[in-house]
Amino acid sequence: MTADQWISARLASYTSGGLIDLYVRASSTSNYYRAIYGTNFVFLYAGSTFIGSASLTLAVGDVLMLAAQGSTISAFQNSNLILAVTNTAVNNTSKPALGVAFAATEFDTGVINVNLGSITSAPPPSNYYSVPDSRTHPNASRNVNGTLIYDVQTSSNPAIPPTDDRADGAPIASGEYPSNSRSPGKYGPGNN
Amino acid sequence: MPTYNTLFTDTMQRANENPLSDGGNWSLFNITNASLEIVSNQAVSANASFPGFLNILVRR
Repeated sequence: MTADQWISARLASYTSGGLIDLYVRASSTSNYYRAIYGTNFVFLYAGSTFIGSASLTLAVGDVLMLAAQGSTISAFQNSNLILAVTNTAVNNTSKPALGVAFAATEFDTGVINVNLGSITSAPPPSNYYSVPDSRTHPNASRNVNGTLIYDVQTSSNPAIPPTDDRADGAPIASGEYPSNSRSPGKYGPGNN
Repeated sequence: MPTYNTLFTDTMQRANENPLSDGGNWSLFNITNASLEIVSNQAVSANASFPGFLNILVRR
């Protein structure tokens, strides 16, 4: 198991006061990250050291999850981040663990669908390269009255269409320009 | 964006099992812990005398 790891469990039955204990990097009784989910809280511990808490309301069917990625320890409820704490006290590759404590009578709190595994991050974007689409401008341009028109074929490759890549109906340069149609006149005081 | 890779799944959907073991895949976190067991297709506390945080299993 890698140090970046997670564990989740679905609450199948619950009585107020019951506890669900999720552990990651659990190498000994004093070396682990631990989330204690109770009726209306989640507590986070690094070993016996309290490192954070948040409020929530537990309900049957909830999926509870604890994750450790680097120095970020995160507690989730139904995929919603409830609490995230930065802590570096525990760093090992031991595996996750699971605990259940009943509330009043044996078996009144239980879980199903326990999953666990590792966490990886997507590689940085610099690892990716997209080949440019040469069809963006299949033609070379010509200048029509100051506007570049891409309708000049540059390739004999039949896969590259020798056509104007503009959409049908796109405006084209008319070559006609507005001119001053006003007749010369006299301006100034007494000439209006 | 983190990717959560699932390496192990235990649905607990099987016959009652005490202690919860899944063929040895779960083991006691510490010798002072009480175990969990499977009752009615759920992982539950196994020992009424240990209602605290002692019912802990670690995945091997």
